Amino acid sequence: MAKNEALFEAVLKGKRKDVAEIVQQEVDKGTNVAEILMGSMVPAMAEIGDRFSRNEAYVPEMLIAARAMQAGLNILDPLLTQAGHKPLAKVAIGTVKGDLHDIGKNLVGMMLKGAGFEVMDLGVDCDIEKYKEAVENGAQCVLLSALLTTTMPYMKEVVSGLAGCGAKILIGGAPVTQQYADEIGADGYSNDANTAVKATKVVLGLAA
Amino acid sequence: MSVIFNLEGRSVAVESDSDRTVLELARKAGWHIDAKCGGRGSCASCNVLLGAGRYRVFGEEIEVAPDMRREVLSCQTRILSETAEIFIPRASILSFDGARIADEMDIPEHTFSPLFPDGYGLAVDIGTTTVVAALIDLRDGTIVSRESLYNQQILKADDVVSRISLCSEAGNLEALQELVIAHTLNPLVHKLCDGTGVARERIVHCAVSGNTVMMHIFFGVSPVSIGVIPFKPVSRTFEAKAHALRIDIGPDARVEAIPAISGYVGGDITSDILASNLWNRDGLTVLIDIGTNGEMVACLDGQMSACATAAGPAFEGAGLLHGTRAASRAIDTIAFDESLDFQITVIGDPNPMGLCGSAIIDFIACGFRCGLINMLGRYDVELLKSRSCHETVAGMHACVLVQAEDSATGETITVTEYDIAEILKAKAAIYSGLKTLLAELGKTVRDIDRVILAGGFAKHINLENAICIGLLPDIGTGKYEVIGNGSLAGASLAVLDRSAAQTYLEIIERPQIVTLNKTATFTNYFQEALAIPNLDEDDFPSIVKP
Repeated sequence: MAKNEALFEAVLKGKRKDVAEIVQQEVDKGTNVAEILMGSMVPAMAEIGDRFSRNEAYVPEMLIAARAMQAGLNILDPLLTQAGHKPLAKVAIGTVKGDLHDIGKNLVGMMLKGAGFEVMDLGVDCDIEKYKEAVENGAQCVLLSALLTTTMPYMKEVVSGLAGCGAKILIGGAPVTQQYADEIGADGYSNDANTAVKATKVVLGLAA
Repeated sequence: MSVIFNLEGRSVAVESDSDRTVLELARKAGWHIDAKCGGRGSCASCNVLLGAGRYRVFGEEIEVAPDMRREVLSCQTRILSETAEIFIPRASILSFDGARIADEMDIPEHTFSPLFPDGYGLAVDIGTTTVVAALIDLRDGTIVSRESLYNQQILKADDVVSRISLCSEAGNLEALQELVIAHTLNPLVHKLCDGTGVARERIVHCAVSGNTVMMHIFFGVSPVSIGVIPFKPVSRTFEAKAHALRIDIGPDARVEAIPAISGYVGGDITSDILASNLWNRDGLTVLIDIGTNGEMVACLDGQMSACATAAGPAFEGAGLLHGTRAASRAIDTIAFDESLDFQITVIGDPNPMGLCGSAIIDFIACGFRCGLINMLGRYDVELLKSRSCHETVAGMHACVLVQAEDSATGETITVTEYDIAEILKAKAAIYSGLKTLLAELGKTVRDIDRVILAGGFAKHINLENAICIGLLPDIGTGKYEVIGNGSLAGASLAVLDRSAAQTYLEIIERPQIVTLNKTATFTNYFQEALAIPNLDEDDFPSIVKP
């Protein structure tokens, strides 16, 4: 798939206006919209995610890149739907009941979008019903976030509430550990936004 | 069982038992080891060296032979042998030597009419990190003396969210209450009274001002409800007799909290509002209290709205590789240009051990101006290398500020790109909170007539540098006013003027609380504010990109 170097760089450097401009130019030229996304933008987000994992990029840079990515997606999304482009998978993400923290959750959501997933953002303070609804609407994987030890126990209730629904469940957030994920029977855990993308691919059988 | 603790040539023996951690036992010996993560074993601030003995570390038994040393986390280590010897490195000790506490305050004009005109009053600002107390002669209103100490709760956890979390486990609420009263306030009372010759029993009125979580814990009420939606405090007002709280003052003395506005906008902000006369000002005035929680209040022709942001403890040096609190041996200012010839000042001692919040703001601002740091907070690595200031720490680029031979730790003092990222997140939380609060009023930073900065940190930051990194709005330093410790001033007013109590109850009903995450604008403003100074360049017209 052809890679537009200028677009790749613009996403990587978080240049929102440049991303929107280049995407628009490509669209006007008649370039395949899926190729714009998968050939240049998704690899750029993967690159920044890997840099983050290697301690070579940090949260501010990742959020700024994700924001630039979003500017491109705003143009591409309706066109991708029209073109019948299928996302990698449909996933839902939300902060659990009682918790309003969403910066980490938003970052994970953006990285998932950046990787080519369709992401349903359920917002904050989500009860079991909200997650169930997302699964009914096609979410193949549900990601739960909690920042407080006081709200984390709700994850256990969500896991039992969603038992047998067929969707995979991943958990994350400052107090969450692999041990806790095992204890409550979640399908996986991740401690940062980049590994969350990888974990999602693994549980859905999409990992290369 | 007994253990000998050694620190800089001094030895203290205390009784030991295998139920307590080395961190806790060291406190019995009178040494307070720093536990930034709250003793959960996830940081390395509490490192000690084990001498001969048998120990359990993270559940595993180990034996240390005589003449051997083993470095461990004191919060995860218990002693099993009859005798043991432990060496505490200087860097692990929570020092209060020369701590720079803002005890300067301006008490606004008021009617001198104390509720208890005979005796002494005690005004206390209970911060998440520091506690400041003032002894006031109620016969004439003079402030006799002031003293400050770290809030000893920092031995358990650094920020309010961690302390709320701790309180959800049995026994911790009582432990935290004991730390702030028996280990912090009472020593302050003794210092104040011993130094002035005032009998402790003559203190008949005590007003405490602090954030809502601190007030709950102080009065022994669980703050857990503040940790979850809808963040409702158990109460906004508290009152008790001194003996019930075991405060070493007149047993029947009245102890009251300055009332809180909400779960996250506390009595310290109520105090700031009265002390700065915010609510009676014309035009658009914003009050910002930069602390672990950045609270702010916007007042538009008497209409107030308020919010709190989770800035975290980065401005207090926590979470930074060589960060330190603003105390002795902390670098407090830095200046340099592209020659990277760092001009630093150090509090107290000439040999620094780390840098505090005001210094890291200077560092990022100077670095941005001279092109060392780009708008995303990344170094020009070539420039660092060409000036021999480059080091790699855990795979991260770092700038060497102080060479090993000039530091108090014997290691280089550096700033990593991760450290810069932590500060960018903290400053983004404050700036985007302010911008969102104004947007809710239909205003922008351009409309601000006046900014009031409250809290200890604001007193010591370089305003131009704070504006340069995008922490504070770029509206000219002439519009800024620094009021010092408004929380202490507010507590003082409560004992000096009997009408203050009523005024406080009126103030807390006025502000409308804005929940930032529920607004449409916050997430975008936050992302924009992560860059230096901001991705919305219109907000920072005076900051020229290098």
